[in-house]
Amino acid sequence: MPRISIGETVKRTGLSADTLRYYEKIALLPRIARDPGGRRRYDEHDISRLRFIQRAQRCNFSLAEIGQLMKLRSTGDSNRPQVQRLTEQKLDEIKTRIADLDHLQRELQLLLNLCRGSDQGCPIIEGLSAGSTDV
Amino acid sequence: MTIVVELFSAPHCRYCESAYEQLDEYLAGRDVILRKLNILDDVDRAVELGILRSPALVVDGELVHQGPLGNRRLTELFGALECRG
Repeated sequence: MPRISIGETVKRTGLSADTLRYYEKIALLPRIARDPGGRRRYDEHDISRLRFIQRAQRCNFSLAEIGQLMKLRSTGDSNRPQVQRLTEQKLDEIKTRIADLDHLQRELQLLLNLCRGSDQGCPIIEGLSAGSTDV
Repeated sequence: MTIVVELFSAPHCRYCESAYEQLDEYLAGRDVILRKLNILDDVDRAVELGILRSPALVVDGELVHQGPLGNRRLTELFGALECRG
């Protein structure tokens, strides 16, 4: 019988109890074992899955994508091309996002400089109204 | 060969109007197309050119100067004034 309580799992992962229950509800985790009192009991394999989910989230994978990755993770090497494709796609999304953020950073810096360099008005609002900040 | 000089200005910019007048005067009689643009009308292009403040001077698509413009800088950029009889 697994013996790690939900409280201990919260401490070890930093995830909230609600999050742990939610992951189980959406089948990101398999059904967690229960003790005779109906309380959840996690094992080391569950903790490992949770750490995998956390790492994948930090890499900007959505929960749906993490579900896919976890299925592939459990089926081993034969799915390597699929994992690579998903990761390459994610990498492209991150690069696009970085480029968008870089553009937005320079745009905001420009607008702020124009505002600082002005005696009278501040053109930030006009600049935002110009419709080029939909990053 | 005609060069295209673009002055990017902004509303309430302290130095933009005088920069444009200086440029207009300095480049008069040369084979130059001078345009005055409002940064806010084309923020994306301004950002792509690397503009961070106004006035900003772009020559043939390349950012060459930002901030107040003096005669010394004009000479560096466009050469000494030619004698115009």
